[in-house]
Amino acid sequence: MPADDPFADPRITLLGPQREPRVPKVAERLGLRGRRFAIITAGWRDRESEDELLTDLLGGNTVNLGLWSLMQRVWERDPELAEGDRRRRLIHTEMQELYLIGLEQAVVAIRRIREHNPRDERVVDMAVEDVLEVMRRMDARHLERVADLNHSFYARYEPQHRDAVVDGRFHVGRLVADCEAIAVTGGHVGVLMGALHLFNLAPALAAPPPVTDAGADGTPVLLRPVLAWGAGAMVLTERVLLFYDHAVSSPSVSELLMNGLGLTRGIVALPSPKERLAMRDPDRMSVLVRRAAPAHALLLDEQAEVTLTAGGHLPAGARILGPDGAVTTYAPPAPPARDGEASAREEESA
Amino acid sequence: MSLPTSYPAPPRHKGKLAINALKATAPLDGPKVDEFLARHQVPIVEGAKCTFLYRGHVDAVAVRHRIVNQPQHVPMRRLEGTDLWYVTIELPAQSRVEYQIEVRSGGAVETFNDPLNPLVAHSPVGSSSVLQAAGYETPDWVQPRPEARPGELVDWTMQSKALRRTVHNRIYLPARFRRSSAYPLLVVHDGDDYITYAAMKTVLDNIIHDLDMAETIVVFSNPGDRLREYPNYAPHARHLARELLPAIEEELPVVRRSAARCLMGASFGAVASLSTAARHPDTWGNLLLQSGSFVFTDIGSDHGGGPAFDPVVKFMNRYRARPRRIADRMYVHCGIYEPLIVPNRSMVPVFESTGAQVRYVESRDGHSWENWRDRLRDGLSWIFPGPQKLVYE
Repeated sequence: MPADDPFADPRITLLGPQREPRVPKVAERLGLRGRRFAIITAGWRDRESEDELLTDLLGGNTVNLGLWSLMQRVWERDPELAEGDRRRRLIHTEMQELYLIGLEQAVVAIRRIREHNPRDERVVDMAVEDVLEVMRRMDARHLERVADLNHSFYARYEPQHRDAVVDGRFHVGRLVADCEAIAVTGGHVGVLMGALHLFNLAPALAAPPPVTDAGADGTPVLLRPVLAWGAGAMVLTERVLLFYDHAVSSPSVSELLMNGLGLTRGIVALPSPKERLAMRDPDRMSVLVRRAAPAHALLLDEQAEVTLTAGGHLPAGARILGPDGAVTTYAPPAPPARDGEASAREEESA
Repeated sequence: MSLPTSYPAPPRHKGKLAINALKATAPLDGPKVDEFLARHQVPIVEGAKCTFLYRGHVDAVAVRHRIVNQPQHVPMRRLEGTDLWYVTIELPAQSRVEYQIEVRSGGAVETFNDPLNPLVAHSPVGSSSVLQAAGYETPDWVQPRPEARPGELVDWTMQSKALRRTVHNRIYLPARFRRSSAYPLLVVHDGDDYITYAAMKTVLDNIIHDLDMAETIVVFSNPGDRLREYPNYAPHARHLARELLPAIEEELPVVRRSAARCLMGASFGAVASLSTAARHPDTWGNLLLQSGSFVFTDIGSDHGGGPAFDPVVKFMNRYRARPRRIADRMYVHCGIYEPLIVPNRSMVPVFESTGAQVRYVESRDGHSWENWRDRLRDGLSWIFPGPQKLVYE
């Protein structure tokens, strides 16, 4: 649970889809209703500005960062950057398509292995695990390549030094500075990620993790409470996983899109799981979970309200998919026992 | 990659067929038949068995359908002591069959839609009764939905030098169309027929709303002399590639790449799509071909299809002799109850041999607009997939 003062100990709260809005109650409970919210609706693209209802739900005191519109203005002012970004997206799309071809073959392999009638069940498990390992490697390599592609784009075009982008970042930074909390809605996750990166929102949401002797591998320190749902929830996590098991004709295997903002730890966000996932197929769910491991597959259906720990981890009791593909609740690992306790327990059990 | 069409297991029906149960209540009379007809939807579908009925004092009755390789004239029998005629035929699950009733009375023979069946399908050449076998369901996305924002249909006329006539098109602009975006372009042959008989405007509204298909600008083009313009006619291909496409690109924000363009058509419209793409390689990256009239001969040129098919056969034979890649992606669909199933099946490996990505789909249906309608979602979402996987509420 967050601290009594939401601003002293800001947390991320992830919600499910807001068809039947729970935002007002949640904001009330978190002590945020009526506070000054920066809202990010870039995932809605050309409907970005249609935020009247959302503003009401949050208590009426909001400012829309207007990232999508700002992005369109950047493309208009800076055609060279626009062309570079278009090319980056085309290459990313092509990489995504080729990565997907590999994943599809892996899924076929798992299905064929599971259809095999084994003399020993372990044989099947081992073979499935081998394919999963291949998939995990493909996932990791894909994310690395996408990150390389994005870094190359930023290195070559240096948006941070271009007037249109600088102006936009300055404008967005001032707006965020005046706000007490952030709300990120759903929508097109690729567009949302693009807008967040272009205007460098990550540092506005959280400070880098404190550097320790072991390096800076902690969680970024949140500057304001954040409410997020749908694509908004996905972009806050470490890795953005695309999934839709009921596609009419496109491959229905889940695929990683890119790294997210990384404000959470050990979470893969799955909004609208009942609508989007074949939840009654535990084998399929199990593949998804085991691919994502050690991250936990967090189910964000309509009733979901998950306030993360200060470190960006899942709280106990969050609904997740277990390794067997069934729905379960998250139980945090027990803290490591101190030496004295361990030896005392050993003595007891002896 | 062509995919085997997966069909459900054949439906089962336990117990007596309704018509046999009626027979068992002999002696029969008018009120019993009245009551029987009031209780059943006609044709009566019981598992794989479909019982057609006709009531009247006539000399002979038959069902006329066009299922290939089946007797297309199926005589009915009169139920002893009544004016009720019947015949039961077996049809696989998910079949959809268009048919009419043929009645002989004295020397007069009449063919008309089944008066006991309210289901009717329409086409440019008239209407037919429809039998929906077990497991067939009219897709929900062919019906207008209040939540789906409608796109706009705009009349768009242009003068064609190539065709020496005025060309009447309709352009579909997706809901929330904006000039600052760039859209894929789909050109549909027999456009008005697709709108009228295959509910294509409604289908586009629904599948774009569902994010199954990308927002797309669609040109519904219409032929003049269809039998001349569609079977491999150079001026038609020139019109599409050199007149219509540049005009559209000038007027509307379409993506100017072949990968974002598709030609589509059914029957001769599919031949027009294929031959246009063949005449203008690298212009049309995608083809959506339904029940293509891809008639060809392996020996000689006698195809038995009549003079209208002469240019088709000439084109297809030439193409089969030297197949070449004319589109990167091809969605090919045909009904298994139509004679064109054989040439369509035969063309799949030929198309695949060119390196094109081919998705081949069969349906248990005939050469009909509702058959083509029922595959629109599958075909269009494959050609121009929507952002379903990228949008999260």
